Amino acid sequence: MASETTISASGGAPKVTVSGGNLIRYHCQFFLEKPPGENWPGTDSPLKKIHDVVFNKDHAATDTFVLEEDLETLSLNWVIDMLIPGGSGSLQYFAEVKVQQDGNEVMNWSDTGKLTNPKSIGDFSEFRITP
Amino acid sequence: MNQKTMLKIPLLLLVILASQLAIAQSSSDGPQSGPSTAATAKQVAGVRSKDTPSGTVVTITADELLSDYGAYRNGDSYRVLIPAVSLALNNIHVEGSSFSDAKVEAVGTNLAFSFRLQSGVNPSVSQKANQLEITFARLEVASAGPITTTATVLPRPESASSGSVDSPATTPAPQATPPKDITPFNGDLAVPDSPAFTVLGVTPETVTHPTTPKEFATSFLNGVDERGHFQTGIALDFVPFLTFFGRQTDLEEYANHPFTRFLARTQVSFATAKGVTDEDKSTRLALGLRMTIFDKGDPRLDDMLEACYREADATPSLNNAALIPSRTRTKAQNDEQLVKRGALYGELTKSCDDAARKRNWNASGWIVGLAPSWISKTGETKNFEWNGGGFWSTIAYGFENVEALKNNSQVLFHVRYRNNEVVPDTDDPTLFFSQDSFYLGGRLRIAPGDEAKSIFSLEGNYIRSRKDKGAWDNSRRFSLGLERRIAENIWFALSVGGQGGRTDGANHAFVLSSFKWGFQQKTPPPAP
Repeated sequence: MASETTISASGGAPKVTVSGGNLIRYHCQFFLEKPPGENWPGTDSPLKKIHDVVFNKDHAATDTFVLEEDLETLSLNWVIDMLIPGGSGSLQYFAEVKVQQDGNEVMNWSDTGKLTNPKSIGDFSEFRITP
Repeated sequence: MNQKTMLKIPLLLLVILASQLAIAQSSSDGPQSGPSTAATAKQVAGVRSKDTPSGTVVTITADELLSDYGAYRNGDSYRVLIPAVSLALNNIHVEGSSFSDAKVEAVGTNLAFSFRLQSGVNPSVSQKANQLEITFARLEVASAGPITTTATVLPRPESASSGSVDSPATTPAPQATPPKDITPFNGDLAVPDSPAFTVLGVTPETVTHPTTPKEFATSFLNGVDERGHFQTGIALDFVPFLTFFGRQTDLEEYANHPFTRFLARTQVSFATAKGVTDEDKSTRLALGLRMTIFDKGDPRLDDMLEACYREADATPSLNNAALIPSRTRTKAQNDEQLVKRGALYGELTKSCDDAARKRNWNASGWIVGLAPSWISKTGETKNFEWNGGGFWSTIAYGFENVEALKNNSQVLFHVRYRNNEVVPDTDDPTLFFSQDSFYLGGRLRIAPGDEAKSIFSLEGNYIRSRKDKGAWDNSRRFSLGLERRIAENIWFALSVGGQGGRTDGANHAFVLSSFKWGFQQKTPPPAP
């Protein structure tokens, strides 16, 4: 698990930035997850997708979005599917997820390695709200 | 990243190479030591066949002492197995009047030579040092037949350019070796994937593909001993731009900046090798560049491929909550689910890649390769001197603007120049000579139908060569060919043609047939 994301209740809305590197296609998806045993209203799932972005030839490999929800008791979960277009070659991948509040970094997760075949990476971080 | 920074990459490589030479020159000289980075397995360096009044003799020459072999006969089939050797050549040619259907194939770490015996032939094997002599003795002498042969070609072990210029995924490049009186030249119209390896005439078992600066430094430092001497057996193949600046580069920049594309498609190979014979203590070194000037079949710029990936992204099974990291699972459980997800993602996108390869097999493109080489006759780095090199260029046109031809035709133009190429003597593979050659060739290929089960080709080439700096010999050759797929990755090829201009008088018509097989390209070197 990535480290906890400590958010100040009196601060601004947290911003999530995801970025990648190298000539790799990244499909990044973000979810908010309810505590164990709870589901999102109207669904039978504890997971709700809140953001979906693809880094490809039409989109630079960085993206930012804002968390508008009440984050109390929730966790931020992400999964990133990676591939080398065309399916051949071997490249170093770089993926990073950062959360900032009012310009301060409150969570930073990264993963790097060698990509030869399509691969999925991801993690989650639980929110801790301070007064 | 600014272009000034990008320009520093090739300079950086040259500086590293030059400094390596300089360091070595200023250091005291001594014997080379330390382990080699690449495994040096025993290799078969030559296969020669010779008809005699009493039959045929096939001589197999290895680069080291042969310690073992096995020979088996089953009816008219005769098989000789040599353990723990590999083939140093891309292909071989064996023919004789005492057998037909000669083949060589890699069986695990062994090489198996098989022959179909003519009636009344008695085979036997004898071993002398690094040679195996297979004698096919018969009672009567057959008359010389027409110039027709069947050769079996080993697939090239590396391979993997994703560029479409020289690698139609569904059709292995023609590499059959015809009889020596038809042509002594490689008719392949492709730029080598790793020019440095080609110019040294080596097929390294272990090639290092560094993808980060750290890996590059480690590979390079492993390739020199404490005195700064290059060790033999080094084989590096990588894309410097992506190795050093991959983190700051992405597909969007690649798509929108031609100079970034050029750098990202420029591949560098570097290799060192020992001399060509056991007694030869020299060290040879080559630096290769393979540059894709443009490639209309580039999968990174393929809109249809991207659309296919998007469909795969939306597959419901990928949105299964079980395949998304969750706080309710342990890290190990989440990691396990991510591995499953990656495998599923690979399955879903594989058909996209396959379709793109088939769609782009004939796309237009232009690739240039060059490889200078040096030799140190003493093996010491300070004594390196120029040892010739190679230049290759292939331009392909896929008729993208011609509706009737854009999906099924391609015309290729290839030029190459090799200087001081070390070539085994066809009469005695233990001997070598220096050859300079210039080759100019063209090929039109037409593959009608969606499946491309048959490929028709029209080919012509001009060859100018000389042996040991002697007189130049000019020749030309034209042929019509048909390749027919008879099973997945197995093709039967037939070509009919003629040649002229040869000073040895071998200017006759010919018929060649061969079976070829190949693999879908999937491994390989640093993209593209």
